[in-house]
Amino acid sequence: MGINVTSNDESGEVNIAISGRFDFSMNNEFRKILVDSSGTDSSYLIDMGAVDDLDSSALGMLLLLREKAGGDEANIKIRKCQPDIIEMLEMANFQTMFDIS
Amino acid sequence: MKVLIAEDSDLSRNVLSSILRKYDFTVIEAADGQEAVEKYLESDPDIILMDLMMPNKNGYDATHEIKSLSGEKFIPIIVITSMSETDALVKSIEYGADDYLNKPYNADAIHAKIIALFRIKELHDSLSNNRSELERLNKQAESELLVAEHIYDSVLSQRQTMLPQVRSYMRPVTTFNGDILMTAYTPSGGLNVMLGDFTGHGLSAAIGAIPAGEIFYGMSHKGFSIGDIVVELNTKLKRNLPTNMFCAACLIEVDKERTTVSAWNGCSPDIIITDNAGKVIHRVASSHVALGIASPEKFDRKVDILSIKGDECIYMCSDGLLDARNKEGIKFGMQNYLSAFSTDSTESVDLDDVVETFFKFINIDDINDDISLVEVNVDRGIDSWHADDFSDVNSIRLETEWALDLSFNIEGLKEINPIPLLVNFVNGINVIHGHKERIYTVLTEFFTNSLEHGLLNLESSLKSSATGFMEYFDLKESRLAELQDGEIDIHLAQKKIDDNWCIIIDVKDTGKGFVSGKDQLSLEDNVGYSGRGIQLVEQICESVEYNDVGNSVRAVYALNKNK
Repeated sequence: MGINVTSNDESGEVNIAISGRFDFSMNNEFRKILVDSSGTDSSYLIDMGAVDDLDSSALGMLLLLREKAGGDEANIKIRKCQPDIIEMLEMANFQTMFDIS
Repeated sequence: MKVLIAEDSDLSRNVLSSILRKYDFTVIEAADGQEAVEKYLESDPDIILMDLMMPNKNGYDATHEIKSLSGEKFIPIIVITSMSETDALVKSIEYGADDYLNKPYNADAIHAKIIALFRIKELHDSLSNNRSELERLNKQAESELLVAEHIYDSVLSQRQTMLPQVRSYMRPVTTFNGDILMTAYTPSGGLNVMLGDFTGHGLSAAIGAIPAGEIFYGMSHKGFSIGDIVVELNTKLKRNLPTNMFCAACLIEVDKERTTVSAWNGCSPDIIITDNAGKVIHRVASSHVALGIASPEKFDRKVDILSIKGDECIYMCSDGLLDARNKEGIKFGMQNYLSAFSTDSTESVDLDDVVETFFKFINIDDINDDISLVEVNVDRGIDSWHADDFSDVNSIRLETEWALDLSFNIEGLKEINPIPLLVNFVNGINVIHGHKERIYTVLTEFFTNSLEHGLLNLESSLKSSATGFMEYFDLKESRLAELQDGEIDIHLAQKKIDDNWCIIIDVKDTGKGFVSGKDQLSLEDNVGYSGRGIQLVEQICESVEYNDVGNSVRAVYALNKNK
C-alpha cells in the first residue's frame, strides 16, 4: 500500500509505483512527489500494476501531476493498469490527456 | 520549576527543601494540609510533594481537594510514605495521588521522579492544548458550514422545484452533497436536466456547485442549449476550481415535442434510456473529460442526439452508485445496474425498482460516496410541459412601434447561436411577457431552417432514423466549418395591424431556397424539415409566408390574441 518513487538518472524519467487503493489517503504522499520532483522537463512513468481501485481524488492527483509536468506538453505514461482501472480512466476520458496502456 | 512541599515535620521539610534547591527548583513550603491547598491556589506549582499524616487536613484530603480544584489541568502529586505503609500508598493513589516517595530520602531518586512526572505533565498539557484547539476549530467549522449551507440552499434548493418528469434518489455522505441535480424548463418548452458529481464531498464539493447552479439555471431560462451550457460551466469551473477538482456531469435536454433527447456525458456512468416497458434501448457513454479540466480551447461540447417516441425514461447516476460494494467487496457495477432493468416481471421498471435492486446488493454500512440516481420520464406531467404562464399576457407592455435588423455573416454563424441573445433582447424591452416561449419557437424554427437547409443544404430526411440523426449533426458541423460565405438576416418589428399589436419576424438567407416547383408541395416538404416545426409555427402565428424561392419567410405574431 502506498507510493514508491524512483528516478532514472540517465533518462531523467521519474518512476512512480502505486499500490493498493489509489484514493484520498495518498493525497499527502502524492503532493510530496509534486513538490520534490524537478518539474516541467521531467517525464513520468506511473506503474499502476498493483492498484486495485481508484476514486475521483486519484484522478485529481493525476491532473495535478499533469499540470506540474507541463499541462498539454506533459509526458506522462500510465502503465500496467488492470482492466477495470482502464475502464475507469476511460470513463473519465483520461486517454485524451495521458498515455495509458 | 516550582515544587510545593507539604510536610508538618520541620526537619523533614527542611531536608527535602535543601535537596530540591540544590537541583535549582523553586520551593514553596506548607506545614499542613490546609496550607497546602491554599499555597497551591496561590502559587500555582508545577508539582507537589505531599506528606500523608498532617494536622489540619491530612494528605489524602488535601490531595483529593487539589485534584478537584485543578479540573482539566494536570498537577502531579507525589506522596511521601515509609516503606512499610503499603495500605497508605494504595489509599493515597485512590485519593488521586500520582506517585510516591519512600523515606528516607535519596536525592537522586527524588530528582529523577520529579523530572519523570514533569515530563508526563508536559505531554498532558500539550495534548490538552491540542484538544481545546481542535474543539475551537470544530466549532468554527460547524458555524461556517451553517453559513455555507445557507448559501448553497439559496442557490440550489430554493429553485429546485422538482419538475413532474423528474424523480430522484440522492444519498449524500455528509451534510453537503457532492452530487447536484438541477432541472429547468427552457423558453421553447423543452426540459433541461443536469446531474453533476464534484470531486470529494461536503463543503469542498459544494463550492463548485454554487457557480454551476447559477450557470445552469440562468442559461436554461434564457434558452441556451446544453452545448452552450457545458461550455460556460467548463470555462467557469476551470477558472475557479483547483486543478485536482472537477465535476463529472451528465446533461440532457428533451425538446418540447418529445422527439429528441440531446445528451452530454463527461466522466459519468452511461446515461440509460428505456422504452415504455422499461427495456434499455439506448446508452450514452461518457465521451468527454469532466467539467473543469479542459482549457476552453480544447473543450469538446459535442452532444449526442437521439430520437425518441415520447414515452421513454432516461436514467442518470453518479459513480457512487456503481462503486458501492457488497459484503464481499464486489462493486455494484454497470452489469448489476443494467440487470435492474431487465427483470422478468411484466410491469415496467422504474426508479424504485432500481433503488431496491441496489440496496439488495450492497452493504449499507460501507457506503463512502454520494449516491444519486435520477429518472426523467418524458411522458409524465405533460400538462406542465410549458415554461411560461400564458395567463400573464396583460403585463406591462411598451405600446409603440420599433424595429430591429440584424445580419449574421458566415464568421458570426460559426461562432454563435444568436437566438438566445435575440430573445433576451426582446424580453429586455419588456414587450412580450407571456409570449417568450412562442416567439422563441418561431425564431428558432426560421433560423434553424435558414442555416441548416438554406445555407448548409442538409436533407431533413436523414433525421428519420437514430443513426441518421447523428449523421445529420455531424454533417452540420463539418459543412458549417467548410462554408466560405453565406448570410442570415433577421428583422424583428413591433407594429399595429388592424388595431392589434403584432410582432413581425422576417428571416432571410442567401441560400438557393427550398422551393423547387409548386409552392404548396414545398411547404409540405418543409414540414418534414424538423418534425412538426413549421406546422407549430403556423398554429402560433397569425400568418406565415415564404417568398417565391423559399429563402425568405415572414411571420406575423399577434400579441393580444390571448386576451
